[in-house]
Amino acid sequence: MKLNKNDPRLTAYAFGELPEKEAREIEIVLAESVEAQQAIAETRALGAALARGLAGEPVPDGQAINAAIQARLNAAEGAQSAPCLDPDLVVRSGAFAEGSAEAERGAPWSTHPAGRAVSERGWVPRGVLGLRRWRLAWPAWLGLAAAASVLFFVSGWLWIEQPWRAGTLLARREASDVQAPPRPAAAAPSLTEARPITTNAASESAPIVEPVPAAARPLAEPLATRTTEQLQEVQLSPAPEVRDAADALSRSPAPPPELITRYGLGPVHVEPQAGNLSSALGEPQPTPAGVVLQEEFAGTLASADAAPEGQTTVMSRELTVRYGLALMPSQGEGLVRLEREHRRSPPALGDIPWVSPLFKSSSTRESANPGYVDVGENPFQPASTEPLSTFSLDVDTGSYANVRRFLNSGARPPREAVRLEEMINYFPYNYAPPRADEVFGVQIEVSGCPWEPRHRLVRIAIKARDAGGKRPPSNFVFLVDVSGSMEPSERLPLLKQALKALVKRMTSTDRVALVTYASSAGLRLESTSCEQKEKILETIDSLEAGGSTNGEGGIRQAYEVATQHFIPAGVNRVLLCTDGDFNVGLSNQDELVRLIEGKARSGVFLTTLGVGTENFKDALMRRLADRGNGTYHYLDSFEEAQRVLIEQMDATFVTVARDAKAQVEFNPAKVGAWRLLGYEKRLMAPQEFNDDTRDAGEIGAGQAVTMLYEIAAPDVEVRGRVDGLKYQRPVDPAPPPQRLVSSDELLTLKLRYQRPEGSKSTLMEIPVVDEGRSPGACSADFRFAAAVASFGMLLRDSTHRGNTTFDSVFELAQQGLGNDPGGWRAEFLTLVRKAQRLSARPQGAPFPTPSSSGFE
Amino acid sequence: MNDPEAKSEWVRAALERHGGALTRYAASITGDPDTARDVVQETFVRLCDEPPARLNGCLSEWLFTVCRNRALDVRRKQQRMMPLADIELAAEPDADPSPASVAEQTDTSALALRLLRTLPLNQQEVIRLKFQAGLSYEEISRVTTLSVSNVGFLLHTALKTLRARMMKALWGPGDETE
Repeated sequence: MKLNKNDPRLTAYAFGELPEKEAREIEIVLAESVEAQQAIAETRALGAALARGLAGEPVPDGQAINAAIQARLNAAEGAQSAPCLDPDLVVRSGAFAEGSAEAERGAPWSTHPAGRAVSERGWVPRGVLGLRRWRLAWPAWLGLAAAASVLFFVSGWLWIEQPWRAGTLLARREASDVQAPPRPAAAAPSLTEARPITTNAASESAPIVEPVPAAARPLAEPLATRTTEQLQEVQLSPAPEVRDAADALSRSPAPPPELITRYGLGPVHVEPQAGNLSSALGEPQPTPAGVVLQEEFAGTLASADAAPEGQTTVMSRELTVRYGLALMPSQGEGLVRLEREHRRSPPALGDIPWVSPLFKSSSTRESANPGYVDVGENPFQPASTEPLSTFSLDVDTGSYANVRRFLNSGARPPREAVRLEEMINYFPYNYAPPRADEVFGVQIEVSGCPWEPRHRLVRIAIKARDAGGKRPPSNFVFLVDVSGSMEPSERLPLLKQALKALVKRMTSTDRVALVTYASSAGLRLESTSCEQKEKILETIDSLEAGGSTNGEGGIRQAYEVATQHFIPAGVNRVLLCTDGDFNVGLSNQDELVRLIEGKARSGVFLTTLGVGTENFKDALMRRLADRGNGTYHYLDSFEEAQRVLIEQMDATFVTVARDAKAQVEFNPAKVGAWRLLGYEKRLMAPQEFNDDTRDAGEIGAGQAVTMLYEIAAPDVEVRGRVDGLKYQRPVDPAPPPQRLVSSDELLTLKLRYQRPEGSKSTLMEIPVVDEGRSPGACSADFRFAAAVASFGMLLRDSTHRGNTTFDSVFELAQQGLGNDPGGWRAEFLTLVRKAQRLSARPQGAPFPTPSSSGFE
Repeated sequence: MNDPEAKSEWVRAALERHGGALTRYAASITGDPDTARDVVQETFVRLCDEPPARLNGCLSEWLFTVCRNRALDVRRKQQRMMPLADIELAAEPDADPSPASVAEQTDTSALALRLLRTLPLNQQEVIRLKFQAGLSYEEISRVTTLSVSNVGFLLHTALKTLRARMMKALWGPGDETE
């Protein structure tokens, strides 16, 4: 098939509007044509930009409408008799004849189209609240919005500074240089009020402003006028990191000069002014009435505070100035979170982006979604002072499915969506099952590290007992989000298919109930024995999307039903199926999590099934599942749903161990430094290992957990080793912290878990000796796991990726293909190639000249 | 749904979810936020008389249809403009950018929005229905009484033009923001 740029099907495909068959055809062309992929990505990005822009348009006062509706409803309540027609309303709404006649015929409303909802803002945009009562006329609104964006432009500019050190300045434009337009007369009152903020920001940041050559003004200059030379003139003050960054940039093969010229790209990080921010974080500043920006910002700060402790929510670091500013007025989250990220860890060189001008394709938009939480990356730890590695054994696999979705849709996943352990644990491995009387079988392999020849890689494979072909009777409550955002075909329709497939596999001893939630929660189907499968299937079929999302109400009700029909020694589960966009009820994440935590004590566990892309709250879904003693799965396709719900039904629903934790003790005589790949979100304090009250991971029947440790012998350098201390000198010879016990062992693995019914925990201990196996002698599973890990590191632009390339990943995975029953490993190979193609070409670049592929 | 409380909750949820988009949409037709507000108010008052069950799954479509009909009606009475479909040619982009447009250029989406206003009105309308109201092609088709393929064509053309104009506005030759 040939596709033309002018074919409307391209746009329809981009927004999920094509029937399946046609979509497949387009996909075939897409697979071969990077330009077509690009067109799709840009169209989606433009759609998102439009949706954002349109959502930010001012809305006139909603109070009057509210009041009118209230009056209407009250009237209806008062007179319970037939349609109460207010004469005034009859007159005023007489012109609805067309609409109402159509509505009465019912024809236009009879079908339920599958479409794609665009996320919407609420009734009145945050930030406009303070202004609402002014009831400005339309032109005044526009003027005000313009003035506001100028202000933001100015103050946003003042926030652009080198993140790592005060006084370090990448490039700065003085505020006075900004092309401030003449003040629109209509907006004058608000400007007067708003001015203190600008001055404030300016004065706070003034001391660190350094004059810069005019050529180094990356921002307000029209992009087209900038040249490579100008970029290189960007003045860097002498902070070593920055110099390195500049070096790296000039050495980086990435942006070809002509692209820089065209796009005006520069390694500029967007960063809020630190002082400004911390004062705002400490105590919310009073919001001067009428200041749009301030209100917007305060609101965002509140949400940042609500983020769970220790977690850092970031927008993608891949922000250009242009894009960063683009996001500021509507999505101030980025400011705060970016700041936090940088505080945590200086960006790696590889992170410095040069990004497309217009929009950084869909991935930037999605990574700007605060639903992603960057887990960072475990650094190397010295075994002498940090000999213990403790973490919880969760085996979520959502990240891989999510990464796959990104790659299949032609975008590189944002790095925070890439979690190594979830990718590694996605695949089935050929691990030996445990002995009859044990819950876990453990297999440990030590071999050369594929991406760093001087290091060793330890693979710890844990295999849980399987259900032995017998699944205990199950009591399932499907809790399905049927809010408006669930309407697109990859959301509710996909879930309906998935749940039906699950029900078809259930037996007469199982029970299913169905609770839905949208604006209000409702019990759609009482707990019903699976002898009446038809009835269950029909109810699932009847689900339709519409309304806002009261997740909390639904969760309460679902647990209630599950408790009522509790099956002792059975599987009692709530399956929460949602795109995670809770916007009514308990939307505060912490409260929601506490609610789940309380409910989990009843013995009813929670599995979360995530769908969708735009509103998808990845982090929340995972957190809920963790606290609800269950697992989280991301369903990007029906195939994935089948894998999770059917093929791995036992692993998904039958828990064989609760609160499973692992602790590894390294022998400093053999290990100089170690690094755990992934599990960043699962780390625990060493003392928590023996504390049975600490919640940890749940392991399903037959499930396999793989951990990889990269270790360096005591005499081998590792990346990221800390400099010697300035104020402390090592005593020579340095006394060991404790007397070393002579041992040939490399490490000892300890596992602790409870039985599902809850009891005292059981401890397993396995010592490991490195037999010096060469890289060539390792198993296929070892190679494959290492390939997945290194792929994840590439996608994350990890500093630890060593000599990994997409080609080396591909080769390693190919060697590790082994027996691949489900074809999952083969699919991985295709993803590696896709990622390679995406990386080879700058995202967001305009169409290259038509190629020989099917797209012209 | 006989329970008045549930009914009122339903209407309120609809207002919360769609009120903003409806008002902006209505304003884009009537050209005036005050009449737009009236139109939306009347739309929701009408909604109070609808049995929720009948609108299950097609609420937004219903709201936009009623709102559109009412807004067009208001506009006809005001005799301000020609009907949407009659206007084929775009207003030309501002030759001399207003202060507002300069400021907006700091923001991709604001730029997109500004350029959106240079598209033919019927294209603007489908863009609004798609990206502001979040309606599907089919829903837009029923709201606007255009065929689905026509909607697809309009959207595709609109987005393609916008993409090209954005590129041009950002770094193309003869940059008007220079």
